[in-house]
Amino acid sequence: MNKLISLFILSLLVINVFGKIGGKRVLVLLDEEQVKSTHSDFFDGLTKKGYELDFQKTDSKVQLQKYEDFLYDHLIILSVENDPTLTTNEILAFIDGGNNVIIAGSSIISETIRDVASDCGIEIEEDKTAVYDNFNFDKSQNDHSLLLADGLIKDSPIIVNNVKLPILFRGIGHKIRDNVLNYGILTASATAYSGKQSTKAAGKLQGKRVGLVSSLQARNNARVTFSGSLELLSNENLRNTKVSNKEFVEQLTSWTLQERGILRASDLSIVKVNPTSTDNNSSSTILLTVKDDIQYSLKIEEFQNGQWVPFVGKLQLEIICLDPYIRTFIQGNKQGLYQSTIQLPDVYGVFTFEGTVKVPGYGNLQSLVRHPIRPFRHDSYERFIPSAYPYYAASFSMIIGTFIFSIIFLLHRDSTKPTTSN
Amino acid sequence: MIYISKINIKNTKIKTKCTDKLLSIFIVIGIIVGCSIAESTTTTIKDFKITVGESKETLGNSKLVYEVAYGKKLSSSVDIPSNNVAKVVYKVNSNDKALVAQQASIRLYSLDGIDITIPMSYAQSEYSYTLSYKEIAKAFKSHSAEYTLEVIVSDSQLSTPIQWSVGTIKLNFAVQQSSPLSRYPEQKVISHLFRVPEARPSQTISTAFTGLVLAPSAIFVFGMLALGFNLSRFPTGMTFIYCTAFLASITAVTLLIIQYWISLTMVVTLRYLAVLLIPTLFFGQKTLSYLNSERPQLTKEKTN
Repeated sequence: MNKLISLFILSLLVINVFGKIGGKRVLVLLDEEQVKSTHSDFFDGLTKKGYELDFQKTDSKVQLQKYEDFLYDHLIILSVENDPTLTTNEILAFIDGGNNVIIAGSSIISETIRDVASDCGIEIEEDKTAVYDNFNFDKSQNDHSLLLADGLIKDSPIIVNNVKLPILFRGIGHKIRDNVLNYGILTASATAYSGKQSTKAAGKLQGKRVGLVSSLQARNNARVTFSGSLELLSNENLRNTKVSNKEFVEQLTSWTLQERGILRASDLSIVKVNPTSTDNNSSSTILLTVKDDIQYSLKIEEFQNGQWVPFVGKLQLEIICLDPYIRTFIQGNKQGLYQSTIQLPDVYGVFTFEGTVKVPGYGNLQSLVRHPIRPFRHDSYERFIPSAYPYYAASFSMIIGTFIFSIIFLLHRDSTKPTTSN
Repeated sequence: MIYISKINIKNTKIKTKCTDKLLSIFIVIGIIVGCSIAESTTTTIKDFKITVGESKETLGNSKLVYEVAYGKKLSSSVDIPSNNVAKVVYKVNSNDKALVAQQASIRLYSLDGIDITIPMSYAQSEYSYTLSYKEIAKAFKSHSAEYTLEVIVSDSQLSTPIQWSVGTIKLNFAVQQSSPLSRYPEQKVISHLFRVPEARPSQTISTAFTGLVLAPSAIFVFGMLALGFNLSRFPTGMTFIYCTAFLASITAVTLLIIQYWISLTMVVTLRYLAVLLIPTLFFGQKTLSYLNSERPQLTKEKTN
């Protein structure tokens, strides 16, 4: 029972390191009041989902946290030409606390936002540049910077899925770092390039490496999305039925605001399959010995539509002591339960049982528990070795022989002697 | 370039004026014809050349030169050996005059998802790019494969930008292991290799030796039976009880030692032994002193 309670507390602690999931308080920073009306569809969509939007001008004094408590769960910064009163460190601390940020800019990006983006692995191109594509632009407007982008991220269907038409984009490009935490959600086509607005001449950043909308999913599951175009979210584009901006923006915002794809683990248990009598030492931790057969079990849930549902996937379990000694993949059942029987290695030491789920676009899940694996006790080895039977036979025959001899030696009377004495 | 822009201006001017259906049809035809004229007379790529050499210095003397005319395809794949360099050169001409386009690049893409567009540098009316493995290793993730080479030339003034698939080139990176292409590369299952127990002699040998070891005991038992024995000194009366208890204690100690061999640990055995020693000592003293009191008579008898 103690064992279960301690494991339960442990798993609770692990969860609390990550931010609160499902928070609804949003701070929206705007450069100009009119963005509220030109992007009203975007904000209405959020309000309908139950988000409480707090609109503030970029230059007004706002606080993200007070007494180490966050006042908001999400931050949305639209149009970032002016430096906000928030400092880079304040925004980064907000992200480090597990909260989410959406940033949409245009051709001029302030230093603060550049620093934040650069810390998130997103390197924004210089001011007064734009992404051009002389092949795939909106032909109806004859503006080569109005891109019809369809380079959606392929490995993470959880982020954007089922977006059939291209997405209208006009704005600044960026480069993302080659990193597992960074997601290039919308990239330009191979013929696009980032160039100065004055000359339209191509710069060094060209082709599919030109990021249009990118995200970072930090190790604490905080999600930061940067869009180089504010127009992407505007009413005009969201209402345009020839493009898929509406679907794209809806899916992107809900993913960024952690409405789905967050994982949590609970009910971790490691038990011996065949407990022996020496194991009943009534201590709270189980004593694992080399070569033991153990049953590992973990429950994994996924946050979806405001509730936790079982996550069915593949769990990677590694048993590590400096190096992974065992790595297996456990398939989860419908209840989100991952169970496997494993024989522990024949090496003793302090081992880490590391269960991880790695699915692109999903949050990080790492369930760590450390257990010592002990060597055999002096009496847990094989008791009788067949090769040593002569040795045992010698000992037993000696014991029994001595026993019989001593009794007879004590109680035997020579029958001949009494006769002679008589 | 000047020529195209003129056509464009003309067309747009007419477009704004026109209201009549017939006129508009006429103008549409005009635009199409204009476009086709613009295409045929405007931009072409000339002198496309790939030179492969061992280093940047020796590129000029290299004999490995692949040339291809605009619109055609390379007859075979260009293989660039590892640690070599390749120089891609082309000219962009518009009406036989060199043109500086807003974008002049080459694109290299493989079937497994690497897609890189590289800008060309412009000097002396030609575009060039020197490909060295060291510089592109990071962007290409050191992934050796066959890449399709495409030339991209575009300008907002050009009515139709150029995207020309030249052929394939083969990149051979020197490194053994390329960086993973997917976000979470598939990891292999690791299973622990248990130590193999040491080899042991066969069962028959140990059985034979067991027999040999037991032989003296057998000799002892048979010899004893042959010589004959009795338990005549077993006492009677009160001492009978002492002697029986003593024998029982010795039996118990013997059994305990056998049990120690089979399953008990040292600590437990010593604890039991300590308890058993008390009656053993007590009854042993009683029995042995009785037997000893009997012994002097025997010795006396002997001496007599």
